Amino acid sequence: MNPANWLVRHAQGAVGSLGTLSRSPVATALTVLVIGIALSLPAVLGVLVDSGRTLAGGWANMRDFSVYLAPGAPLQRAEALADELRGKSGVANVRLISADTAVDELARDPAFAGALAALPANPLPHTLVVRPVASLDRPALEALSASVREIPDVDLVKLDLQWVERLNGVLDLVRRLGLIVGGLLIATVVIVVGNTIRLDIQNRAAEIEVAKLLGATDAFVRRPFLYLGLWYGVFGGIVAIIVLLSSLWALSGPVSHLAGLYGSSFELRAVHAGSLLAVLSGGILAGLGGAWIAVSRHLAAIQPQID
Amino acid sequence: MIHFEHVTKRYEGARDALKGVTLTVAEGELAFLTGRSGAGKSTVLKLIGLIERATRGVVTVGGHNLGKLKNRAIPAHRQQIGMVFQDNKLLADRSAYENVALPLIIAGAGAREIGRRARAALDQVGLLDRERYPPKSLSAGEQQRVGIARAIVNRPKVVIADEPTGNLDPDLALEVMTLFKRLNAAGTTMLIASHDLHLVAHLGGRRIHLVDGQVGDRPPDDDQPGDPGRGRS
Repeated sequence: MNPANWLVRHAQGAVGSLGTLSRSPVATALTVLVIGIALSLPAVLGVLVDSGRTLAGGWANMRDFSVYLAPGAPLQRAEALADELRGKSGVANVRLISADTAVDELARDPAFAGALAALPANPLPHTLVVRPVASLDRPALEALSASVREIPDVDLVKLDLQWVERLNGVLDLVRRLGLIVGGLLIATVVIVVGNTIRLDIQNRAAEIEVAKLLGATDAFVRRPFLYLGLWYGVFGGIVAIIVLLSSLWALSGPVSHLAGLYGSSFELRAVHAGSLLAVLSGGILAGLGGAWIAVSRHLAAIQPQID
Repeated sequence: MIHFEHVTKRYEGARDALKGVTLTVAEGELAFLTGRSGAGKSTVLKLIGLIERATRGVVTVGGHNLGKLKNRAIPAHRQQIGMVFQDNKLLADRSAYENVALPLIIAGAGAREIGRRARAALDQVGLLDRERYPPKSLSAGEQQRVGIARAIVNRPKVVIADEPTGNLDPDLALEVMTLFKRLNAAGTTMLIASHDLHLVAHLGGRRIHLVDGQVGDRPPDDDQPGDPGRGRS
């Protein structure tokens, strides 16, 4: 067969399979919906975990630690200490919050204003907010904070990374659950497509038998069914993308509102074209996989007969 | 063109369908396989079409020893042979033209060639004006003629037919057999299995008579199935 005829045959196979699907629109729509929903669930979960990772990652990078000076330490000492820390290896930036600035900020909060007014003197110490360089790993960060703690006039160093690690742990767990659920749902897609194509093979057994009698190769007989699987995957993938985008659109408002209540500007991550392509490709691969399994198992059983 | 050398075919769990059959059909010959039901006529055709393989012996078609043909070569072999069936095996949801075009599509012919040759084959069997008709809109004889057009569309060197007139009334049967004779006159080797000895005698081709899986003596022309008292050799 010359290449042009080969291409024409494939085009005919692809269009013919579309025709097969269009002849039973309700059954096709139901199958495509099942595939689409099954594919969309791991995709939605993936985007949510991805967004959560961004949030945790953003917070993890904000590893500033606070250095509280001993009560009564003068402002000049705080300024000198700030200069000293700026010269330390691993320190990116040091910000000084004087005791007066801190008490003024606190006094703006009505909950504390009354209590502060009742105090005879400012109880707050001068504070240095130290931002380490981004490349500093956890042990180096802990070593830095420990060395700062040893400096005279430093009363307390507060470094808390545990909650970020806990959040990452939860996200890891959710991600693994997502992988398991995603794997099971993709297996479901393969089974649904495989079973649908098995029924189609049974319905077209007479046609397959005649084609084999007339000299059809296995590839010729297999082709329309593989295209069926491909189309199921393509349409299922498109449904999955629609479900994914709709779900994220529906969730983005409430998530932003909730984050705003906690003083965060967190938003769900926009879905990249690459992710959408991955969903579509997953659908196509699952569709083709299901079709291939069905074809391999059931076509060989149909052998031509002369009565 | 077709040669069987001491061919035996044993189906699993059954008696031998063919027992050491030796026969030859020459190139361009019109030959009839006759015999009662179960005599082995269909088995001979199955072995030629590689629907079954011989248990013992050598089957040669067009110089190729079919016993040595690998399974992956079976489709190419079948494309070289035209087959006509008693139940015609037409696809009900396709038109006459589409049914006839199917072997050409399978063989990978181009669209223009398919159109030209499928219409030529339909013209040969006198059904060009029915090309758009689905099989159910055609008479039994016309359906069988579509089946014949499908068998010859690839211009095979050999056409085998299994009881092609089995479902037809005598007039239509004669019409179909006459068509076979005309195609044979154009050079196609024909091997036709039939139990209609009157019809076979009328057409005058060579007869290969099978009895219980063996080539037997030629029976009298009026030996008919269901008449167990006569014709056994």
